Amino acid sequence: MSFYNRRRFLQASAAGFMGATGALAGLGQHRAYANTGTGYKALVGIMLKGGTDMFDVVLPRDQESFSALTALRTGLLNGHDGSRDPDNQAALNPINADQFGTRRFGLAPEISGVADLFGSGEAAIVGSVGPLLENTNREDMEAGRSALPANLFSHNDQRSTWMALGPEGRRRGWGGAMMDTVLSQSPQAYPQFTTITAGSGDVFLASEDTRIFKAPRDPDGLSVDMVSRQWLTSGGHGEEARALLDTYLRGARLGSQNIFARDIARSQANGLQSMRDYGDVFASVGPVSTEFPDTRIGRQMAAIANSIHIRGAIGNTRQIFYADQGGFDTHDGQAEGIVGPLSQVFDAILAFRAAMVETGAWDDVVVFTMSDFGRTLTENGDGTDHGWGSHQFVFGGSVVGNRIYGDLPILDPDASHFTSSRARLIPSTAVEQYAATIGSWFGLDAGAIDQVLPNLGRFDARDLGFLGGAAV
Amino acid sequence: MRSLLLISAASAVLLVGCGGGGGGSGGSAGLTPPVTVSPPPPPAPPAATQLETKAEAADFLMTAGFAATDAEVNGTTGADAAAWVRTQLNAPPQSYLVTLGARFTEEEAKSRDNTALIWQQMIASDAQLRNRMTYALSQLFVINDRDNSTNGYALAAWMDILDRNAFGNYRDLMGDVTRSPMMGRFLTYIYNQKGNDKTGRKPDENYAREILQLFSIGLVELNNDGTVKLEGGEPVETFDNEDIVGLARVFTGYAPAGTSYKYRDRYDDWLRRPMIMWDEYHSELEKSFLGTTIPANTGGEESIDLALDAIFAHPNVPPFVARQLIQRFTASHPSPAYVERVATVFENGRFTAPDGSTFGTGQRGDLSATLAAIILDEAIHDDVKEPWEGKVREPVLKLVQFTRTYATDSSKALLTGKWNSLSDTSDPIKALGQAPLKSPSVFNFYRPGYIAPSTESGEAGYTAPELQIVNASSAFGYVNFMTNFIARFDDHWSGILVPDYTEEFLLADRPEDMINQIDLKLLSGRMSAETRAAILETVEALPLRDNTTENNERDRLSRVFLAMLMTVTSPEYAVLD
Repeated sequence: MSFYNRRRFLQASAAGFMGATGALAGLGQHRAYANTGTGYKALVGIMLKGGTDMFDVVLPRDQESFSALTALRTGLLNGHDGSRDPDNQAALNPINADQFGTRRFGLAPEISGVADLFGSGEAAIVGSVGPLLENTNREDMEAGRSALPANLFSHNDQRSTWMALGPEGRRRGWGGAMMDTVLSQSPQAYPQFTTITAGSGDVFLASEDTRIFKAPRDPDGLSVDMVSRQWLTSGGHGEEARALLDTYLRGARLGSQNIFARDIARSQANGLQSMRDYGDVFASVGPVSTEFPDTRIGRQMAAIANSIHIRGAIGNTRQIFYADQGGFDTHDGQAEGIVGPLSQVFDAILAFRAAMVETGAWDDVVVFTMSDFGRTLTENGDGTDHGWGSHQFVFGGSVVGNRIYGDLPILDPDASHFTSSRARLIPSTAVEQYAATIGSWFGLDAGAIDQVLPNLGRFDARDLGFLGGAAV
Repeated sequence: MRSLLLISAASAVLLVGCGGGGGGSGGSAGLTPPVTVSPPPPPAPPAATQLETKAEAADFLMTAGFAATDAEVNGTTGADAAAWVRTQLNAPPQSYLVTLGARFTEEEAKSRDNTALIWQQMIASDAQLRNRMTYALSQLFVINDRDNSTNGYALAAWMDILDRNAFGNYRDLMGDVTRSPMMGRFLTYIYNQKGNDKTGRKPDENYAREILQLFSIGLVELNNDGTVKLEGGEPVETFDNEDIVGLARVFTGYAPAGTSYKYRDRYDDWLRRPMIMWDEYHSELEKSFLGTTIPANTGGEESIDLALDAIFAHPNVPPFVARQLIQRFTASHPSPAYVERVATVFENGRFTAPDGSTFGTGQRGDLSATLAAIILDEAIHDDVKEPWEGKVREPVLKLVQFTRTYATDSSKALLTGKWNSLSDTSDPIKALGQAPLKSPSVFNFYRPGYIAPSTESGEAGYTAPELQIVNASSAFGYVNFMTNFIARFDDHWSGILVPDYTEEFLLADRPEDMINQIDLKLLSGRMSAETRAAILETVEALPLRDNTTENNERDRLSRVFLAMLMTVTSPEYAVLD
C-alpha cells in the first residue's frame, strides 16, 4: 500500500537518526515471530496523577473494618457525609471472598459502574501493588535490612518508577520496552503508530525504537496548511508556494551543527507528517459512534477508541496506549476533591468499554491503572499525604474478573504492612509482577519479559493470573 | 483582512522600538580598568563580553532578554554586555497589583484571568532582564493559577513577589513565597494544623516535601558543579521521610490574613497580604529535619524562620538553583564547570565580570550577582560553539520575541479585554502547549533533568527540559498557532498586538532583502543556508501580481507571511546557541 511505503520512506529520511539506527536496522533481520501472534492486541495504561488514595475508593464494607477506618479518618469521613458508609457503597462480591474471611468490600458510590463491570467479570482489582526492589515489611525496613526503591514518596520519581522502573530521568518505560521486543520479533511490524499517547508525553511509552505518537482528540481537518491554503490558493495563484511551504514544514533540515536544533527539526517534521498520515487514515474510516463524556480523560479515551477503531487501516497488530488524569494529590479537601477526578476516569473507562464492544475489540484490549503511589492511611485533617503501595484496576474482555488479586490488607496502622510513620502501605506485590502479567497476555515470551523487567526474578509469582495466565 | 492591508501599507510608524530603555547609558563605567594598574599597560584586548557587532549585541539581548529592537541593538553595539546588565538591574520592580488596579475596577480585576498582565510585561516592558528573571523564577517556584482564577488579584500578588525579589536574595524570596497565600493554597498548607492524637490528624506534608525537593535542595546530594555526589557508587538522598514528618510540623498554623483564624474573618484583600501565623494551631512539638532541631514550644513565625535558614544553609542550594536558572537563560545542558562558576557566585554573593566590573552585595544567595554570572559568563561569550551548547527556547519565549519585534508599541501598551486571547495558551494542539503560570502541577511543564528519549541529544545524555513539550501535537499546534498569529486570518487576534510589517512589505519585491531583514530581526543573522534557500524558493514561487493594487498588496503580504512562518518554525529560531 502506498500509505505504508510513504511511512517507510519518511522513517528512513525525515525521521533520520532513530529510524536509521533503531527500528529499521531491526526490520531486516527477519527473526521469527516468537509468540506475538497475528491477532490484534492493545494495552491501555492510565496514569492517575498525584497518587490516588485507594483507601478512599476500595472501601471496607463490614462494620468492624469500617469502624477501624472511621477511627483513623474522622475528618475525611465527616467530609464525605455518609457517602462512604457501607450502606451507600457499591458492593463487591468477589469469587474469592473467602480469602478475606469476614471482611467485605465495596467501591465508592460515584464509581458504581465499575462494581457492575467487576460483577460481570470484566474487571478485577490488584491490591497492595507498588514499586519494590524486594519484598519487605516494617521491621526489615526500619532495621535497614531491605533494599528500597529510590526516592520513595516523591511524586515524579515514584510515577517514573511505576512507568519506567526507576526514578525520574529514565528514558525507557515498560510500555515502550514491551513494544521494542514486539518490533524486534515481528519483521512486519512498523514502528509508527505503535505507541500512542492521548495525554502527556510521559515516560511509559518511551523507548529506543518507537516514536510516541500523540493521538489528536479531534482528528478531523488535521492540516497545517489549512490556513495558508485558504489564503494562497485563490484562483490557483500561489499553489506552488503552498506546496513548497508544506514540503518545508514536513521536511527535517538537519544541517545545523547544534544537536538540539537537529532534534527539534526531526521532531517537528516527524510530528507534522505523522499527524497528516493519521488524519488521512482517520478520514477514510471515521470515528466510533459511542459517545464519550466531555472531560479531559473522556476526550483522551475517545481518541484511543478511535485509534483502535481504525486498526485495520493502520495495520499494526500490537499497540500500546497511554492516558492520564490529574487531581489525585488530595492533601486537603479530599472528600470534595477526589470525587470529580475519580468519576471522570471511570466514566471514561465505561464509555471506552462500550466503544470497544462497538468495534469488536473488547476481548483484545486490556485497560489498567497506575498511580504515583497510595496515600497515608492516617489523615491530616481533611486530606491524606504521600504513601507507597496502593490498589489498581484492570479491565477488558480477557480479564479474569470479579476477583481480587494481590491483597487488600487489614486497616491496622500497627500491622507490619504499614510504615510506623503515618501508616503508608508497604506493597506486597511488585509493579514488575503487575507488568509481567500484562506483558504475557500481550504476547511477550519469558525471555522478553525478563528483558523488559529485569527485577522480576526477585519476586515469587511471574504471573498474577488476572489475564488468564497460569498463576505461578 | 482588509484592515490588515491598510495597517501594513499605510503605517508610517515603522519600528520606533521601545525608546531608551535598552540603551547602554552605563557603558563607560563598565569599561573602567582595574585600579591596581601601575605601569601603563598595552591596550588590553576587549573583554569577551564586549558586544563588538550588531549581531553579537542582538544575540546577547535575545539571550538575556526577550528580543532585540533596532534601537536596543544600536544602543548596545560597541559596549560591554556588563553595562547593559547594570542598567537593567537598576530597573525598579513594576507592581502587577498597581497595574491591575490602574487598569480595572476592583470587581473587574477580581473576576478576570489576569495572565494577560504577565504577557504584557514580557512583551511591552523595557525592563527585559527583570521580567525574564521573574518568568524564570515562576518556573522554579511553580504555582498554577487555575485554582486562583476566581480572584485575579492572586496572580498579580504572586507575580509581585517574584518580581520584587528577582534581583534580591534567594532567602528572602523563600520567605515571601512561604508566607504567600497563593502558595499556601496551591501546596495546601494554609489551614494546616498541628497534629491531634484524638482524631488521628497529622500535619499536611505537602509543602515540607516540595520546598525541599523542588525549591531548594533536591532529592540527592550534589557536588558544587551540580553533578550528583556518589558514595560507594550510589547517590545519597538529602532527606528521608522522618525529615518530612519533622518539617511538616513547621508549616502549621497559617491562615488567611484576617481578624481571626476563621475563614469568615479574613480580610477582603487577604490574597494581597502574607498569611498570618496563629500559634494555637501551630505544632508545639519538637521539629527535627536535615540535622536541625527546633525545640518544642517554639512559636510559629520563629519556627518558619529557623527552618528556612536551615534549608537555605544546605550546600545543595547553590548548585541546585544555579543549574536551573542557567537552563532558563542560556543553556539546556550547562557544563559542570559553568554550573560551578555560577554556584560559587551564588555562594559568595559577588561576581566579577570579564570587563572587571563587579555585581552583588557579597551576601550568599544574591540573585543579581547570580544572574550576571549566568549571562556574562565568558564561555557563553566566546566564539566557540559546541554542538551541545545553547538553549532550546520554549514556546512562550518564541511568541514573546516575535511580538516584541513586530507588534506596534501602541497596541502593546493598550491592555484591553481582547488580551484574554492570550490568557491560556497551554493547549498543545490549538496553541503553544505552554503558558505562564498554567503548569499542570508544581513540577512545571518540563523537568530540569529531562533527557528526551529517541533523540540524538538523549542518546548523548544531554538534558533538554524544553524538549519535554516538543511532540507531534505541539509541533502541529505551534505551526497553526503561529500561522494565525502572524497572518491574522481570523478574528481571534483582531485588535490586539497589531503587527507592523511595513519594512518587509516594502521589500517583498526583493525577496533576498526581505529575508535578510527578517533574519536580522528574528535570528540576529543566524539563519542557516538551507533555511534561507528554502524560504527564497518558496517566496519566489509566489508571483507578485500587478493587475490590481489589491492583488499586489495581497501577494506582498503573502510573501511576508510565508517568510516569517518559515523563520519561526526553523530549527535556528528554536535553539539560541
